[in-house]
Amino acid sequence: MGLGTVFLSHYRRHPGQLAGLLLILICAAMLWSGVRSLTGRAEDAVAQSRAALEPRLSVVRVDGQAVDVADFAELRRAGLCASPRLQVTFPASEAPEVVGIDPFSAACLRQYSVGTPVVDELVAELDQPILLGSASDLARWRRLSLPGMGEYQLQETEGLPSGVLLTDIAVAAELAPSGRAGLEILLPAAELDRLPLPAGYRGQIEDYGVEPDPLVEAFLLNLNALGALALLVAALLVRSIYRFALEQRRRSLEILVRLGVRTARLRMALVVEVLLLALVGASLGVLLGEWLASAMADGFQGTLSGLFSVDTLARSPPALETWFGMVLILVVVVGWAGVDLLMLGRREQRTVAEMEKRRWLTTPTLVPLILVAVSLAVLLGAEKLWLIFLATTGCLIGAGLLLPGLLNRLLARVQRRSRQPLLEWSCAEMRALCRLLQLPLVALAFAIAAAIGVQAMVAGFEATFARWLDQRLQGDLYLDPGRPLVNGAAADWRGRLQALPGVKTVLPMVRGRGLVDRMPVDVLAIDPASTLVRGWPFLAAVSDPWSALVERGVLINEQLARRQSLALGDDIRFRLGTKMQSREVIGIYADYGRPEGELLLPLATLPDVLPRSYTTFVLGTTAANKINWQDWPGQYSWLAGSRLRDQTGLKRAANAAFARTFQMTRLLNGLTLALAGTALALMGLVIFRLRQRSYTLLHVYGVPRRRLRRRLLVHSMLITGLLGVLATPLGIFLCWVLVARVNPAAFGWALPLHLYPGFWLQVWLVCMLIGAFVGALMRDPVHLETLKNE
Amino acid sequence: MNSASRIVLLVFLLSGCGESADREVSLGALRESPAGFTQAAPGMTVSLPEDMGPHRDYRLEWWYLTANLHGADGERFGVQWTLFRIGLRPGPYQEKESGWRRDEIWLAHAALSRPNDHRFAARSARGGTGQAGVTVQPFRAWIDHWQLESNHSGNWSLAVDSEDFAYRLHLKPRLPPVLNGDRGFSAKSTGGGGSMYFSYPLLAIDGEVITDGQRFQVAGQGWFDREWSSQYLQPDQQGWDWLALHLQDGRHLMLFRIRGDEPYFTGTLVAADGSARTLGADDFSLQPSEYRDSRFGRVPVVWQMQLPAAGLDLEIRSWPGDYWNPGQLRYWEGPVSVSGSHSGEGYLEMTGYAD
Repeated sequence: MGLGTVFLSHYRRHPGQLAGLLLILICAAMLWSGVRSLTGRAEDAVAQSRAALEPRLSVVRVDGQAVDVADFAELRRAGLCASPRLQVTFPASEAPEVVGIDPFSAACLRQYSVGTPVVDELVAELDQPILLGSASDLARWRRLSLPGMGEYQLQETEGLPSGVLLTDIAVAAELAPSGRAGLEILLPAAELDRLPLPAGYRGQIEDYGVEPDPLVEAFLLNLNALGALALLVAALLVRSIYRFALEQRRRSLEILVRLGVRTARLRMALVVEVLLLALVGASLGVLLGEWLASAMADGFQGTLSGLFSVDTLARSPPALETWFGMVLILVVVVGWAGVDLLMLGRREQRTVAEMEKRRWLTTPTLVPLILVAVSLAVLLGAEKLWLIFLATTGCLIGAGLLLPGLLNRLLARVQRRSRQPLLEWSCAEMRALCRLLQLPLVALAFAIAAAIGVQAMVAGFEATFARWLDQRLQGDLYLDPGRPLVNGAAADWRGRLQALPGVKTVLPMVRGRGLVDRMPVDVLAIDPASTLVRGWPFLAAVSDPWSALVERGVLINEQLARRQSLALGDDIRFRLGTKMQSREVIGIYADYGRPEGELLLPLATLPDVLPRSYTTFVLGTTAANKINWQDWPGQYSWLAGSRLRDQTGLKRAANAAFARTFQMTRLLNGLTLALAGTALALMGLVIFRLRQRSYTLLHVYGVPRRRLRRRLLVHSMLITGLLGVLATPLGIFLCWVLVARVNPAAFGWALPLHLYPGFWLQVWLVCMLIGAFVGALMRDPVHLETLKNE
Repeated sequence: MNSASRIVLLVFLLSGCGESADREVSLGALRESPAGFTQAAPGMTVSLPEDMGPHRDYRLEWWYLTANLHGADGERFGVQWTLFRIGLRPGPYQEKESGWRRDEIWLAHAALSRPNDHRFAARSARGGTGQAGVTVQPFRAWIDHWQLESNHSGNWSLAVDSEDFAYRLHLKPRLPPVLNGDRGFSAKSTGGGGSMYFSYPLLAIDGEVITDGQRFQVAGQGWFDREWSSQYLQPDQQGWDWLALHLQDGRHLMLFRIRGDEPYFTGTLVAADGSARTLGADDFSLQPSEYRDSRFGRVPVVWQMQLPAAGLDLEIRSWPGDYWNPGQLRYWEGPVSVSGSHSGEGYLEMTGYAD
């Protein structure tokens, strides 16, 4: 019988162990590679959009007329590297926008010349009207049912912005009559260093071409950290299972040594086993990880584009490096678990039980305590996100090391005080279980803590956000004109809106982009005199901020205040278009849910040309539910193509956006918890079998079988339940880290810490259910056969 | 547009990035005749000045200038400027207003050659916008700011400006245009098929060439081709070797060989007074005698040419260097010098060689 067969025979006798081991490895690999696949794609997208950054001008006519194809020809004839872009929007609110570019001149713009094969695609398909876009946008397009739509060939293309179908400009021009079209002639700003614009034209900044804050990296780091937590949990679980396997295999390995198998060969066989396990786990895990990534891709892309304007997410098949990296990670995980087995030769004399006991007795509480203290100190002072994660990991590991000891002491105290022998036995039994199940229990504690922490953060955010939204959304109706309003059109619209039946007040809001300290920020301009802004909540403000805003001030959001270390009374210099301005900070407001800095200014201070300028309106009505605002776009031709929404609709959309943002986090957490629970159940089953002897002895001494069975169930539930309770402070701590440390570092805003005891109860219940499940799996703890060898 | 035209587009557009392209596919562009386009045929003839303008019922046509120029200190320059028009669907087109269309594509290739130095630039544009086009009266061919145009005195001027070279040239047609082949129908095989083809055999040129920041006052002579067709090559034909030569005695010679199962030879001999004679395979011999290992494979760079009836026994030698114009359908376009019974200069164009 070969060595391999002997090794395999162990798993043949304990197939559950092999299955458990592989399940944990596959799950961990799936989570990690899935998360890495998504974050890796996002990193690529960020790098790509960074490479495509360049200051860009939109060429306009001095006489105020819209530019057309003749203007494009004239600019090209003047030798300028100009390229047109025709954007067509459709009245249906869910319709994707069609963007037509000219592939022959698109290379002038870095955005189409860096890493985008779409231009070649458009040239090759010039004869057929083809629309390129993501699967979801193409699906939305199909639902539009425009006349003659069947002629358009639809091609799923990755790496395009969401909500956009890209096509040749001639195709877009053919579609223009069904929607609303706007032509822009774009030019890299650097072109004007080479050649002047012909007379009759001027360039206005369309994009500053500067890099936004590297916040998206912080967001990705968040996700990676969650993935790493899953790996850590898996490492603990695998180690516990493997160490446990050691107990069972030691005898057969010793026999092999006695039979003359050299320990070096034995170790080699173990290494091969570790490699094989890692290989199988990684291969299946990476495959499943890709599946997980593609399942989550849409939500993730939505989050990314909503939060960071990163929306060119390309799909790539799992690379060989990914797989190899995963194998390596799992080799380390399994290797760490098997390190005791590898040391076999040196520790031959000691039994594992002795080792376990020694370790148990000598594990000083001082080391984890110091670890927790140091990590906490670092955590309080750290500003860098990776340091925050590191310190949090330190706290978690320290707490994890302390937790089983704490449980043990608690039980020991009860054991000492108990007057009933059976209760005393129960306590001793549970202590033994704690000792044997130390690692899976710690893993479960981490999973519990993560679940509690993340839930508190998400729920806290939702509550804060809803309250904040209520205060902030003062009007009844929100109107998006569906197109940029230029050349005084906004004032015209304001007048017309005011005249609509039931409309009491109209507040125009202009959004655009500015620069603060060479960093792009959002600009929001409103009319400070409007009654619709009266109720705005501020984190800090001078008295009567709205009149100060007109005279001298600027309101900034919390993100910008934190990032630029600005307080009330400070002066801030910013650039709008080509104009530099300086104003005093007179108020700081909360602005949840996105990382961008924002300046709030009076409408009058805006320059004529503001990059990405877009006007929307807030309408105050006499009674929104009594007017038929839904019919307005049909009734008034000038409102055609615009989008009207009421407050509830807007809230629903905002909440949906955030639900999507947190969906991933919740999913990862749920999976980690499930993983830990399953592993504990598997381990518990085997451990309880080990403990059968003591239950059987009690049965022999006269305790009824039924009672013992109940007792076993209670033991199991008590341990997991107590663990749940003990892990709760850890969860609260995690939540605090997320809202007070991670959020400001990653997004620029902090949230109040909310506690949700109701959810704790649910988690404790789940813990007890896991315990009950483990206990119930045992069915009958009394097996007289276990006494046979004694 | 059918798949063939699509290939033509890619062929011309992907200049410089088509190293891995399937050359057989690329050549298909010159061989296939898509439906709906007019095919050049014997009996068709040329009428001027109309035929200087675009032929929208044909698939592919070009305005093609090659010139041999000399600087004040004896520097030698070769200049090529070509405007291509590719029909995506057969014209004439109904829309008179300019707009974003998918009817035709314009491409331009510009090159500046010196011994051991060849620079190339390309531009492309869709038709219909006014960004590129050709008008007949006055004659003007342009794409963006590159332009070849005639003035009221019948002289032409060419302005080309690219990243690493530029030229501004004045061109005076010294001889009237000559019709190649059979009154302008230039057969490309014995089995039929060919193009409409006429040439201005002598353009006296002076002007300015700018390269590497240096300005050169230049003078010399050039050859201008107008050619249009919807199918240039037969399925068995791989490419052509084309020569346009200016001999010291004032004669001009255009010759080409189409390489196929059976090579096809033809040419035009233009006397100093401008009278022209079409040459058949029996009139002359044209054979490569030396080859050069170039960027894209081995190419014939020295040619022996005999035309006994005209007393010509010439050795035609390419300038040292590599004169490939990159792209999927890359082609060699480089100056040559002529020795033997007569001396002279000219241009050699070769297609269908690159691996």
